[in-house]
Amino acid sequence: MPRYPKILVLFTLSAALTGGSSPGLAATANGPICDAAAKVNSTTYYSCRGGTHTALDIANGTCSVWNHRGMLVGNYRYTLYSGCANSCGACSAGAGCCNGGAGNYYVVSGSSGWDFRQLHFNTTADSATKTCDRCALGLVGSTGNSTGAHSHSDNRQYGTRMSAWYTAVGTTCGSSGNCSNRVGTPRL
Amino acid sequence: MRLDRHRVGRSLVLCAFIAVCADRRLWAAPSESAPPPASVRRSTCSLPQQLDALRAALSRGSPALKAYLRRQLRDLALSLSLADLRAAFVQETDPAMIEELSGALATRVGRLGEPHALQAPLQRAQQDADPAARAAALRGLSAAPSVETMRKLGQTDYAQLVADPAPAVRQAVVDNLLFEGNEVYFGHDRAVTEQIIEVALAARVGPTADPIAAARLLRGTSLESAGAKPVDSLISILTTSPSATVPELRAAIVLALGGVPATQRERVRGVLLSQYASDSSPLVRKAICEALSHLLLAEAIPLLEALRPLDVRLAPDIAAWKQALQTGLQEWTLVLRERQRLPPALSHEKPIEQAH
Repeated sequence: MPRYPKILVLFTLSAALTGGSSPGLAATANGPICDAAAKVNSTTYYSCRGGTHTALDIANGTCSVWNHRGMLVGNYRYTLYSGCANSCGACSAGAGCCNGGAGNYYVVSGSSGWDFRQLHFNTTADSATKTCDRCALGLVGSTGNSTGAHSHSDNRQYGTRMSAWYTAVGTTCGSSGNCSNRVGTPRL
Repeated sequence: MRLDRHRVGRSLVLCAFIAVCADRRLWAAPSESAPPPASVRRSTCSLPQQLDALRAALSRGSPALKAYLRRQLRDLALSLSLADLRAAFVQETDPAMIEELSGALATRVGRLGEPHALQAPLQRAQQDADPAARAAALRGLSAAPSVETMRKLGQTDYAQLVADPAPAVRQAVVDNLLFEGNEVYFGHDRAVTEQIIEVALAARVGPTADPIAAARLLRGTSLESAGAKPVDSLISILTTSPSATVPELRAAIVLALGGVPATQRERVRGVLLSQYASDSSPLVRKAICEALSHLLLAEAIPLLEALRPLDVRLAPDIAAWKQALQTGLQEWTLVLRERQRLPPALSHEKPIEQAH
């Protein structure tokens, strides 16, 4: 069996892993709720054992009480998509559940097709497109395709959800979703 | 035999460990080697204490300590009264600390939604007699939504600040705008992009003209969200007064034009082709090859081929661009990376970024 220099093997491996996609800039994401009771309850699979999800769901067992904060550490432009009536209930009509199932949501658009989204919140008078650092975007709610109040966050490139941003830092079901705890390192 | 060798090895390691411990008196009871530790007392962190610690760290601390204390100050800034923080900023005379306190005030804009927290740093950036203090006050605003905040306050803007006679202040303006444009808004915000173009246009004229700063701004800015008017202004500089501008600035304008929105693609394509014929600077022509590749991706190949006979010096560069574009990659950053990966033999000139 031929022997290759380690550096060549590493270079080839890293090129294969990046797969020709643009890496984007690394950001840091903390939990969206400043409550010690906030926990991650879904990651790559719903409840960590159901169907495919590939995002973080974080809840603290309340609805329309706690602020749903911007998760990215540092100033970013959060663009608001709203228009859904505030809700603490459930909607199971999929894309029919307002805004394609996302409910009221914010998007931070990065480079090369990367974005970071936070979904399902209930709006307040302060909900608006804004540039801020971990500010209150709305209240933890259940708008869109949601069975109970929670914050859904995902990191996508050209619409495809990625999982490395939270798996790389060991976030899993039961991890803290508190606003002082790092839950991921999304790309933007 | 193997077992014996392991035993011998283990014994040697144990002996060495005992020798080191004995030498350093690790066996000694705490009372024999050191005084009892002082009792730990609860104390309240005050702003002066925090500033003293940061001041000492900035002069002789490690990078990690500086970063830790900087973050601590910015966290503390959220719970202090704005008046106290502002007073500390106004009284400070050391530029390194002015920058930190300006950054602490800027933290309140993003975290607490207090745009007026930037009033004091902006006033100092405009009025302080010491150019180092003016530059430091501005540097502290890096990574804050400063363009948006300046517009809300109406106190000043970067187009005025870039006219400062001190190069360090102009440098801070450029650094802030590049960071904010690329890492806060990612080139998607029209107002910020157009402010950057306005600042670049302001920087190239007047008694404090700094065309290299203008070139740096334009080279690092995506025009994907720019409207037609600022793009017209850039084209006008390129076409109406080529001899009045340095080649670095013309090359930067060309590179920026390579990233205009699709609605302006055809117009810019014509401008770049005629500029290639009329501008003999190799720096500008090299930039045009890159801008055409950016603007048109694979559609640029026949155009580049047509340009090749006009300047033999650019033939290797055109060949490299063709090779990169023929890979069929459909995203500019990937094409650019491919171009940069090509063997150096194909790019005989220094990259434009290193030309200054």
